[in-house]
Amino acid sequence: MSSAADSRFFTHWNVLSSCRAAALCAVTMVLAAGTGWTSAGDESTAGAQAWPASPPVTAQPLLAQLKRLQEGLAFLGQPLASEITTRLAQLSAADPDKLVTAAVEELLDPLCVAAVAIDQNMQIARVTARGQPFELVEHGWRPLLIKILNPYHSTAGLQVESPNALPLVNSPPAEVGDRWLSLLPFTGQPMKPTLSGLPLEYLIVQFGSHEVGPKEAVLSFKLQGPRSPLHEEGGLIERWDFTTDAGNWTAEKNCQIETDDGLLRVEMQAGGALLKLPVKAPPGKYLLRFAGKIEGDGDGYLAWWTNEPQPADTTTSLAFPLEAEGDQPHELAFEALGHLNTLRLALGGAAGRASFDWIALSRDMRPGQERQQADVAFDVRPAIPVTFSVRDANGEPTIAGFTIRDPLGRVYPAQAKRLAPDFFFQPQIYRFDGESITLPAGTYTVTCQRGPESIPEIQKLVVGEEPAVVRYVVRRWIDPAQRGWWSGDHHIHAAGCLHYENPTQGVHPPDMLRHIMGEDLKIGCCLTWGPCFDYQKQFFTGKPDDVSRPPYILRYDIEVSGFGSHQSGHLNLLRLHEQIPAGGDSKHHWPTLGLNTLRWAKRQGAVCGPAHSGNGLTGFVGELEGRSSGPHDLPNYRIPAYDGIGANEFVMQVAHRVPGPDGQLVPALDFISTMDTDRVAEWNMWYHVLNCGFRVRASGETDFPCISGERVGMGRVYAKVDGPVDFDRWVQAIQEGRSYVSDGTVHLMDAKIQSGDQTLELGQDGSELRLPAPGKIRVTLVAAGRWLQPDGHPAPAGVPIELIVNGLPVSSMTIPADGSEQTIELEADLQQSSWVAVRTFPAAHTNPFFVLIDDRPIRASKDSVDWCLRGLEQCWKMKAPTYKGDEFAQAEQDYAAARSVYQQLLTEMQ
Amino acid sequence: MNAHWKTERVRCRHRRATRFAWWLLSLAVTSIGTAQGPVDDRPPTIPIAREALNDSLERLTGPLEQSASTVSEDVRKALKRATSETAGLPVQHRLDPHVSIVIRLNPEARVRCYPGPAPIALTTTQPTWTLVKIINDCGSRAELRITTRETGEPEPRAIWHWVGNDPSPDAPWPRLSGSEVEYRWLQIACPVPGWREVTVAFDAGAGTQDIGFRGETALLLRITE
Repeated sequence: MSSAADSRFFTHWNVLSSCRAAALCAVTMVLAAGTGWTSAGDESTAGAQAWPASPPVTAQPLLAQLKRLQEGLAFLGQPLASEITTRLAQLSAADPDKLVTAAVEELLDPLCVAAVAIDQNMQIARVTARGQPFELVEHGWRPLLIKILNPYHSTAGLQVESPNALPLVNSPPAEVGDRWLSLLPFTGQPMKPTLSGLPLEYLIVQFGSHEVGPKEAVLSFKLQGPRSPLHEEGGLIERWDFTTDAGNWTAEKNCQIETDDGLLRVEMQAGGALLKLPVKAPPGKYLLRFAGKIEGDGDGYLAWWTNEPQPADTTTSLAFPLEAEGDQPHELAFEALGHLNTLRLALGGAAGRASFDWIALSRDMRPGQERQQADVAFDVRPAIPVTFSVRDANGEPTIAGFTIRDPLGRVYPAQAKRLAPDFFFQPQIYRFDGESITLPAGTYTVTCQRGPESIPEIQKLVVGEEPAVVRYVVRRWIDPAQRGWWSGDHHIHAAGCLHYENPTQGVHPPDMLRHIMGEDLKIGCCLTWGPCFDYQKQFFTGKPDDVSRPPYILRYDIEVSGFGSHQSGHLNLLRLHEQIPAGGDSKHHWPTLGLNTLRWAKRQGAVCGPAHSGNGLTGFVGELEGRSSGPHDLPNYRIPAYDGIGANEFVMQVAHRVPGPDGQLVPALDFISTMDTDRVAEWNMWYHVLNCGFRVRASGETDFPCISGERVGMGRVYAKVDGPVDFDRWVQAIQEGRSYVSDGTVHLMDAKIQSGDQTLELGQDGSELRLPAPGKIRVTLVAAGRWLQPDGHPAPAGVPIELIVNGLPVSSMTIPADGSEQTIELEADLQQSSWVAVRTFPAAHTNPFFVLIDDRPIRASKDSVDWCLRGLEQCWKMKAPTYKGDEFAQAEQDYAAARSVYQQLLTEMQ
Repeated sequence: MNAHWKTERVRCRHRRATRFAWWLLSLAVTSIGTAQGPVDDRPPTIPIAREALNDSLERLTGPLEQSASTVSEDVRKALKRATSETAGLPVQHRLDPHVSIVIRLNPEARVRCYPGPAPIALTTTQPTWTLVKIINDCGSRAELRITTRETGEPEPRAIWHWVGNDPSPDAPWPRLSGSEVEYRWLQIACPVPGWREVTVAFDAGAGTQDIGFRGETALLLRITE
């Protein structure tokens, strides 16, 4: 260290301390960015380099990673060929590493467009391209692999780019022809956004082209490191934790230092505090990292000295901003051109205090800015138009769902690059008669269907050089609409969960209508909820959306989820006229007590019920001792934990009546949602409250695409509407219980109850039958079920149909599983007022009839009242913390009122 | 077609110098104006009252007294600093760089998890405690279950359990507090050195699997002797 150098340092430091650090930082940024240009002339192209092989890699993590790779490709709709997956499956983690590694490379390397090798400096040392051209499809996407050789376990991110993939917009005219490529690494689950660190790894990159013919692309690779690594694996020179002393750090000027409680405390005086560290390290790149706090913002300065004198224009110092409340460790990168012997750290110019948690000096092992590249050849096959001719059974043009796969099982159009109306999380697309897609020439399997009431059809499609046509005529095994039973799903979403938020915040009404029509779902209740609320709320009109094409109706309403009273159980609010309560225009001011939400909704005549009812009811905290469960564990007497977001506060809400639109009291709840969560949990809650005498109906939902993104209408409710269907009459039918729930495979239509000379249809007169005395009842209905074995034949055991009285089956019969409609009769002897329904567990359930004997209310089971009462206490215990502010007192009152209701029921029963 | 392809290849090479220069220039322009960001793997910080983190901090600091060596000095210091912070965000700023796994429950109680910024360093000599951050958008107080899967089922398997919870198979799982943010220790033990990939899944009652593998993450573990 020379006194001349010292003098230069202090002079320079004093000047800089009085200058704005921003100017220097800007220059530093430009210089740092400029290092990316150093490779301008470094065009390392593959040429004739040999394809690299990997040393043996530990078998278990290698095979685990390949399993994820296979799952990722399958998720993209582009699975590995069956021969490859079969051979991979034969490899075992117990096999020798060398054998497994060689076998994996033999199978997967031919699918790689390039191999990237990383060296001990965590830089890309070499990129090698495969020699042969890879096939792409015009306007389509094909995932290909990149082989990574990573013997030093880098966990950086790999950036893949190409000048051929630059945007066409604002392209220089001479470049337009070169910008034919689309490029997208797939880093979503189960793949990872960064390298795993395993010495051999395969990444997925998707390639697409909008041009045809032989093409060549330059693929460029660069590593990107994480922002704040705290662990230096290799490269550490020294680390100071200050648990006992300051190590070699000393106070050189204008400061005093001491260690205290694992901190290096610095008392700074005006003029600029300066810390000094003698060190010995060879020439090279280094990182000085530290975590600490400094009072007041200011400029810091790091300077380094070497044994060898440096030319005057050599950089031997850098400035950095000190942030008083910075939450990330500082990281200063510098290069010593000689043998390092001293570091100096300057901390601003003002008096004050600073403290350091730790300081670490290490070699700079971060990925560099250099890129490596390779030329890769492609052959883009032209795409041929394929038109869909879709007719309903009556010959009318219609829409259907199509799943298109090539012989390798690859899905078209490629899933990962779909935008609405096609959803990336489904293999199928929905197309109207006359619409078309493009496919490259080849042979395809096309699975055609239109919802669970249709008979799927599998066709072979051969695409040559001329446009092709897919012809499909929808055949149904059942059509409940012909009997006036209109299917619906009261819980689907256009945003959140699997839907994307870019380029749009969820999808739009025409997209959702296409899906409900494609699944032959007559009514779709599209519920706006937390995610994208402020964007999706624009589609609420208080009536069916204008895109609706009767009988296919789409209506926007609300699910209280992610805001408001969501923590005590989500609520589906159907047929709202006002979307948002007074006091705001978004979701931040809603009540936290679910019953308050219902009070607001019922005042405007909405039809309401909990969502995904079974959530929070599948873990247990106790049970009613000595009670036996019924068949299918229904009912059972285990007390749920009420720790979720399903039908939880429901157990309190169901005991309340609240003002309706005309001020008259109405039940706070209309239905319990079923068909998308644990069936036993859903129906158990329902049965117990029915046994208490509460007349809550069941309605069917999917919660698309949260609980499932497979398709809309996986859980359905079929509601009877006389004449043409409209939304108001359909939802009224749900409220009145003129409906059955189903997964689409079993239908329980036209249920009637008869006793003596009285006959009542389900939903008529509130489904209430009055008998003067105990006696026999007969339930008739038209039932149909289609349960097929893997070979396509109906299940030989048939479809069981049970007559349920107060939660227990009292008679049953079996119908063929071939989908044929059967008129059946089931009888029961009723000794007390009861609720009566028909079910096929777990596929379908009618809403109940309420049979009152001698005008006595239904009080079917004291145990059910006990169960509800204990559930109420457990629910209060879990949900009380979620009620905020003034609503807590209201919640106490509401729970107390519900408690009284249940206790009154107990008294009656005793 | 071969001749066409070769001609096309020559044409591509001929234009490459000009094209590459333009590409680099465009990159340079963007790199000056923006931070060329490496991957930001910090867990999200949530505005939350300091009091809401009291239980978490107690749950983290309490067991530390009984286990002197399973948590690094760095993490101990960060925890000590966090405990002395008086607001919710600074507590998270202290702890989050040391988080190894992030779990997030969306409003539908669907679980998503992913690795945090701190790698998991295991040794065969003793179990390791790793810091897990849980962000709970639905206020769920369900049990938080862990299941793990190791391809090839190597023996012995790594053992994972929540610190402070009875590890026996029949014991109930710990419940989420319902707070928007909480932190927990997760203990991992593996007596065999080497590399191992483990897929860990978390379930808060709504199932671990959503389409797209949201409730689980694969972790490459290096176990040293």
